Amino acid sequence: MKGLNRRNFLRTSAAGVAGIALTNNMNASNTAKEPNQTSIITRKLGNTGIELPVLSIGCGEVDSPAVIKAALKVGITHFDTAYRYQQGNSEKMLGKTLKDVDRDSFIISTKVVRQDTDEKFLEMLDESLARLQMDYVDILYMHGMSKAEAIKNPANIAQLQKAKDLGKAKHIGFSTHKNEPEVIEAAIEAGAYEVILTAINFKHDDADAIKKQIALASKKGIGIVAMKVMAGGYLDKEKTKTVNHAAALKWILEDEHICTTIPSMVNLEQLQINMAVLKDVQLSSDEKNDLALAKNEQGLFCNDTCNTCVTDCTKNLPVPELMRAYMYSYGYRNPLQAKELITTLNIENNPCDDCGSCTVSCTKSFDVAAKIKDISRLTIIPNDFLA
Amino acid sequence: MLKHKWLLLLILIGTTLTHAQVKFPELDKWEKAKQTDSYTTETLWEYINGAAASYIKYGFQKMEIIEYTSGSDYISLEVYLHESPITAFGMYAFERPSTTNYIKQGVEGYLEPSALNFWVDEYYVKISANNEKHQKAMQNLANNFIARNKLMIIQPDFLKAFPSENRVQHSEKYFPKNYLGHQFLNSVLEVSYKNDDAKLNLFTIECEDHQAAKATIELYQDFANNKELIEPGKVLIIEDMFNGKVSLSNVDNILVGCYNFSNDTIGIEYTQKLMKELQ
Repeated sequence: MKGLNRRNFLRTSAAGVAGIALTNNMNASNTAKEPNQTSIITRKLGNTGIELPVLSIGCGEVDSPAVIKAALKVGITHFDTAYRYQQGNSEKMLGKTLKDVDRDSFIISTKVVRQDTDEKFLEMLDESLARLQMDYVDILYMHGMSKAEAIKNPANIAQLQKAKDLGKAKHIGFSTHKNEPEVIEAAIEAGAYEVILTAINFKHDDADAIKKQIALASKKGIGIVAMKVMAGGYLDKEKTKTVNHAAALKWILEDEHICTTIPSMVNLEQLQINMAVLKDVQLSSDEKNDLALAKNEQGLFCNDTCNTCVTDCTKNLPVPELMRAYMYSYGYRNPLQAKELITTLNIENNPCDDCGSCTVSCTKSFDVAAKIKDISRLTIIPNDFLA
Repeated sequence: MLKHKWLLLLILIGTTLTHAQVKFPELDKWEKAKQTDSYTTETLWEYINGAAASYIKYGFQKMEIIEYTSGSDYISLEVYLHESPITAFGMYAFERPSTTNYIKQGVEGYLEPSALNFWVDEYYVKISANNEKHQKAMQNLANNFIARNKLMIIQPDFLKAFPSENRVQHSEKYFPKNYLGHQFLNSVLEVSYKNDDAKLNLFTIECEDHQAAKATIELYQDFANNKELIEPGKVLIIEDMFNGKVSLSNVDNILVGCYNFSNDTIGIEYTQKLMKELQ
């Protein structure tokens, strides 16, 4: 509790910072002892037959059962997780928390990365189901698809379809946070996917192109779920400028083709702020102004789409992914998640060290070399210093 | 300032050396392996996969494991070193089954058919065998471990403060962060109480000082839009929209609270009992 006081807490906490502008609303909403769920806005998830509240929870960082129980209490029914989140602990936490809750009263989605064989893919799904203590997931995503060819690849579709045929998944889809417009377009052409979980936010340079494809996919009966909606949460590394969370969510939800969003909410303070969106998705003029101002900031969010940096780098480093790791660490304040990503990329500490000068030109004017030098240090920091 | 830093460094080195010297005892009629395996915060996941994250959350620092064999049978002794007795206890309590066979081992321990777990000092110790017939050998090994490392079996102060009346045995838990889902409730000790009429949970947070305890209560008030004045000895009732009513007060630097109570009178009564024990 060192150095804790109300002023410091509000300054340093994500919920606090985001909540400063919303304090009045926050307190007003808290006066309700039993949240009224009747006025919650819900939308149909494509042709799946599932109807979801516009606000769901991404459980990549959530480790508190209290948050899940509280979310259910206020009417949130959809929890998104993945095989690899928190090394399986995200699924375990959800399984333990939801085991006594009526299975028909909530929707679980998980993600498994495509595998070389169907057996391996199904084995991993079985592991997920065991952790979740469930016989099936409502939505199974193939995790992190970034190329149109991969979306159309019959082998990938077959892995998902087998899981569905075996009753281990009610509906199938994929998640994407790279090349979203062409990936979604490919999914429409493939005609095999029921749900798409896509990155999109008000700072995404390709937002218009993504929205165009979302509309087309939606018309074809594909359910759309939005992620990375906070554009990193902060606009600077020092965390002096915060994204207006409610405004960022509303910007997404003003598009009725998008069924729901899955922001991370790791504590009740964040839930309390975001839950207002369950009943109101109209952007106020102040919120529009906040977003307009924030859009002009460089921010921490890398679009992951222009890819000019990839060919620029003489070492062929996965620059967009490293920029994403930087956002996880400084924007989401989750250095562990950043380290997890860097580890999967096999990056060592300061991979740019022996480069004379950086040849990468970033369309967002990120100082790529400095950011890589900064974030790659995580590889040599023990996990307990990051927890 | 520099002098203080060196002093701190020496203390840390001293502590590390002490911790590094876990002594593994002999076990009559069993052959002790010549070498131990050890795991750090970086490598624990190689041994227990995703469970490593929970250990790290509870201040895990290092684990050493050694095996004892007798023919084709074996017993393994895993010693998890945590940063403090309270975090070692916390991890032990986190994994403790809801019903089990408690035995006198360490500060608290339990025996299952082929496993014996206990905690003492900064250690969470797990012994397991490949056969249920080795329960006695596991208990001997636990005793030998405590004796060899000269560990004192003392109930720590942090568990003594909670009142004994209606206290549910073995219900003590420790939450390193996010207690009740709140980001401002960290390092929390919780104990359950139950009688014919009531069932509730008491908790404490040891804050840095009186002001920090008060500041934490204020944060809870902000969350719940509670504008009552905090006065010495007064118990506040906070209406937490997610967790129900929570009572709060403090005794100097210790924040005291109660939740899950059926009516305010009972919540206040139990909170005051705990406050009395702390005074």
